[in-house]
Amino acid sequence: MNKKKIFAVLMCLVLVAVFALTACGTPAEETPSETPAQEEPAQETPAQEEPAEEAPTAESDEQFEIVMIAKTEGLAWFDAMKRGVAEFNDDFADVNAYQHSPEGADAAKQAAMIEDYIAKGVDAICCVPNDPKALIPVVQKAKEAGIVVVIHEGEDLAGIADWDVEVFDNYEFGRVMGQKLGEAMGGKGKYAANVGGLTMQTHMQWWQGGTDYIKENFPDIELVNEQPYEDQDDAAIAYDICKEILRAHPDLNGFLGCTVESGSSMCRLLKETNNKNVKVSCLAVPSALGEYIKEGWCANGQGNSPIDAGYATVMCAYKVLKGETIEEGSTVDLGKPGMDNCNVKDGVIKGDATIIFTPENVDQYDF
Amino acid sequence: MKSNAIKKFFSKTEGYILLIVIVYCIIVAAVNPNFMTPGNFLDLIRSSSWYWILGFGVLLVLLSGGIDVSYTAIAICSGYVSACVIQRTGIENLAFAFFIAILIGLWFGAINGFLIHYFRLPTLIATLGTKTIFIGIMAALVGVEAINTDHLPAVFKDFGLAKLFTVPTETGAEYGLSVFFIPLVILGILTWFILYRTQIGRSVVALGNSEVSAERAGYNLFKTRMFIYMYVGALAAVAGVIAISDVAWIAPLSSTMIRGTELTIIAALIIGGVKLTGGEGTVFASIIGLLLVRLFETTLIFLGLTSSWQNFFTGLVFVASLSVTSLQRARKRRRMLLFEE
Amino acid sequence: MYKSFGAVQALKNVSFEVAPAEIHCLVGENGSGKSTFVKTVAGVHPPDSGEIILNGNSYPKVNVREAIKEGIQVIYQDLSLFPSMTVAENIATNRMIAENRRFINWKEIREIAAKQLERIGVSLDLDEAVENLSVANRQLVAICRALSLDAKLIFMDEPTTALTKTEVDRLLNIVLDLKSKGISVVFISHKLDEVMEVADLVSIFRDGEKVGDFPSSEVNEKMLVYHMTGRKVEYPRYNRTYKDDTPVLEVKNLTSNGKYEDVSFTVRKGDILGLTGLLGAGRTELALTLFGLNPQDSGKIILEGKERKFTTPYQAIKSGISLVPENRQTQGCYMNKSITDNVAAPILDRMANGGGVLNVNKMKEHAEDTVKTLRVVTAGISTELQNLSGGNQQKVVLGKWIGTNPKVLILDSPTVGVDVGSKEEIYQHIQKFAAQGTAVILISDEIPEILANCNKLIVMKKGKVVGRLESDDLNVADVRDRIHALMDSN
Repeated sequence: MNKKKIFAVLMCLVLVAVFALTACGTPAEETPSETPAQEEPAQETPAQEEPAEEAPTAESDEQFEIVMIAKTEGLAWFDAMKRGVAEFNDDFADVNAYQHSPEGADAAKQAAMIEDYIAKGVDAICCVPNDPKALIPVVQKAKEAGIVVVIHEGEDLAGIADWDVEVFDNYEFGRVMGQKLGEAMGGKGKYAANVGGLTMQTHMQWWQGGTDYIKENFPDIELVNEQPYEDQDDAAIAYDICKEILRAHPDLNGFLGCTVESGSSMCRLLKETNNKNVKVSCLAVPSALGEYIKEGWCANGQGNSPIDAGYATVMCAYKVLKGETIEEGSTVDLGKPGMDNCNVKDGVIKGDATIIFTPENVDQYDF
Repeated sequence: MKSNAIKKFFSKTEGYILLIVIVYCIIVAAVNPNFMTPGNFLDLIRSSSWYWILGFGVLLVLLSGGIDVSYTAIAICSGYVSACVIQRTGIENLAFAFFIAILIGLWFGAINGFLIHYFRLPTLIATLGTKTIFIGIMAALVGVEAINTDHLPAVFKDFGLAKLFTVPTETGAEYGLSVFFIPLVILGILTWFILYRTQIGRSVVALGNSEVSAERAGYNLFKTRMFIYMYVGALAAVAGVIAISDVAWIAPLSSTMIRGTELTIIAALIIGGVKLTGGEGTVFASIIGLLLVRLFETTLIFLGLTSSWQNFFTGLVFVASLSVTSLQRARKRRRMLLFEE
Repeated sequence: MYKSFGAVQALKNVSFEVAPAEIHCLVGENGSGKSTFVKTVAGVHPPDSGEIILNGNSYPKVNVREAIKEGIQVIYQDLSLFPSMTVAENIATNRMIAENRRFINWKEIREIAAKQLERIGVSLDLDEAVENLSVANRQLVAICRALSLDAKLIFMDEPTTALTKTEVDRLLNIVLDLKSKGISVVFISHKLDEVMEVADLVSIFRDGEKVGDFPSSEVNEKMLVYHMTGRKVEYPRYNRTYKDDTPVLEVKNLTSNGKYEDVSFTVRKGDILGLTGLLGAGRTELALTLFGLNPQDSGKIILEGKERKFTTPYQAIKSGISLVPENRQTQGCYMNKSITDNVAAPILDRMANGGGVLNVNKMKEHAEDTVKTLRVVTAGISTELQNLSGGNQQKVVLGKWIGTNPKVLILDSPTVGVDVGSKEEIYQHIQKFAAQGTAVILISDEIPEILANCNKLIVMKKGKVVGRLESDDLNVADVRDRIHALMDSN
């Protein structure tokens, strides 16, 4: 009996130790990037124990509250974007900017969240829509309430929102992906393609660009699936799909992945089965694909910086709030490399911030 | 005598589900010959191993007459916390990873068992609640940020890549039997041993048969319940570590990995012949039921179908299997002119 | 020994003694304290005061483990078995627990089970699941389980209610055999029972007190009832007075394969037709056919001159046939619903206003009427049935079906689990109802019940009619023996 009690107490202590270790370890260790330094009023993610840097809020009279609503919480990509938003918050004293996303990439949850922020009366809402068309009514509502709305990666909302910020021309981005894949495959063989979802506009533009390029330039390369596979930006689904693709098409030579999840899943599977026949060209983030790029499992990883994208999007909202005019047909500077000379056309602000990750440069990116 | 035994086997649910599995495999192979390769089956074992391990735990709960929906949350929490601890302490040791995960699994399981026993809560309600509590504890104390491949401790990645043996294919790719097979077999045998060779295992079955009778027989039901839910917790923890090692990645909130499979696994076990109301079910039934559901999940591309078809097939077999057994029983009872339960 | 629950004094100054190798009967009406007494001795409830002496060891109170150690075993009415486990495991489990085993040795379990079955001279398939056994065999499993723990004294709660005559005989033989091996058995019952034939002593309980111990040879039904109720109970004898002799229901050569065959009879208004026979004689199955739950394979049912065939109870009720089923708890009523809901259930269409909306006042009125006419003892019409005594529950069930104004009312064992006092009242109601012109079919295996109520009797055996007695036959002195002879005939 006594022994049992002692054992139980011991177990409790160990458990507490485990949580203490993980909780305290968070900001201090090798992941300095994870420390969000902004105030997060409606933040659902855990409060970090490291005291957050006080945002310079109090002294300023004109305080703009800008919220960034990304596709989902808990994905590395949007965690990085959050850091970009935080960086902006630190750079501008008269701004209170933060990011808050739904749990799970769901258009309905996102719409509900925008409604909440309309009710809260923020000055500007930035959003990376899961399904741009689904957000049209709620974006209109925000506009009617006098809130500035800036969209990132959702051209369907151009003209409805104040601005849509694109980091590059999506179709061109896709063509590059296709070109790199065709070259890696040596101009012949079979390939499969994947997107997050058929309703995800940017993904479909990349896919269109990639497949068009291959069709035009590599006549000996055959696409095995007319309609792209969908992984809902979910690594578990992507993993299963890639596995099945490899099993159903053992003679596959290439893979065009329009999601980070599908690209990294495919590389993981190739590495696991030591399969060197399949070349992967995909959307990439270094944290997910860096290892594979260096080891050669990923022939081409390309993307942009979510940090910069977040920063630039909020910057756009800030400029509108400040009353700076952004004119159609002109260019605008959103303050980040590749975004410093953006073209403004039809409600879309388009930069040219494509990054091609190579084994040499991949280590310098922190997202 | 022997043919009799075979006949008896196929008259049981496990038996005809096995038949369905075989027929289905033949159909898929006919549509796409690529299906019938050793690599494929080795891969099925690999990717299904954590389903099976979770299934063993669920089997115990179902046998005891309960329904647990929190075990997937336990799997995610314990696996994620274990990965975080290793990432932050740098102790790259597989045994340590399992130790941390199982510790958390046991604790969360104990919470379930305690609530269910002392507050006489219906198991489904209790675990519906604790499911979100567990995720909440994790979010509050550890965080929910995704750990991408590059940041995941090497011990997980290496564990996921390790194989017992490999089979090369003509294309040069190598398929192999994953080391996941070892914990799978050990836990399968352990579960069987507990259920058929230990007093505590029999008390689980007894509890599912009749709570009153079990109490009168002198079983300590507190012990039994704590055992069931802590065992489920521990198995979930092992499954969590394996699942993370499998995909080399974890996003505890945004991914559907493990999450949302709780009812699928329960349904799969019932398809296999485990009784939802408790008292009846075997380890083999859980293996075969999950095998069928996993086949549906992983063969769609072979058949050239979209993922909606998987839900359709699983649902179809689930309803058909339950209807057939229920109808058989009702007919038998009707013949005996029994109208009460 | 004294024991009270709250304000209720469940046991008052009870002294009770069982010698080794003694068969003892413990009789009393529901609520007389028999069950409380057994639970106190078995250690489930501690007594308030008094002393329990087991094998010479005195205990102010015992716990379950001590009681088991002293060789006390209780076989509850529900038997407390594990349905999907095998015979062998059911027998051996309790011993394994008592011995604090950690691991299971199936060989040993089979050995224990085989040994106990051998002890009572029964052979059962050790690997069969208990749920596939007959009730009688389940009971044997429970007895073996008790024996496996070296029982010296076995309490058996209402062991014979679900058994057929042959099965009861087998049980009695086993009990006598146990007695010869020095084991004592205490039967608990609320009626005069076959088991008293083999008992050495009969103890009668009333209102928590022991009335007295009587040698079983001295016990007869009249005195038993007198001591149990504290008054003389005379069942009213029914005589048909109705003048109209046209048949309400005619049954011709009715057959249901494997259940019963070639049954014919006629019931007129005001008739109470008795239907008796052992379990398995086909009487309940016959009733189910008339109620649409067991469609016949051949033969005719003629109701008021028109041939009918019922495939659902709905049709039967619509045509004026009602059935009060055998098992009150699971088939006869909704235990967790109020009296109002219960009695309104079969006549909801009459309780509804236009458009199918229920008229609550009408339902309440109907419930009040039923409670009044049947003299149901209850706090009110909103009381849930599970809170009523067995006798009052049965009255409600009866009222529920009488409320449908049936032309033919079939009663299947209407007084099972009802104490003697309530029985008398229920008989009065049945007879009154028949006298008003309803044709009643009364299925029962209690001969006194048949004799008190029926003016016609059909005896069935193995699905066939083996005897028909008209009212004159029922009035002769040796009618009991005749009926028994018919039931046991070959």
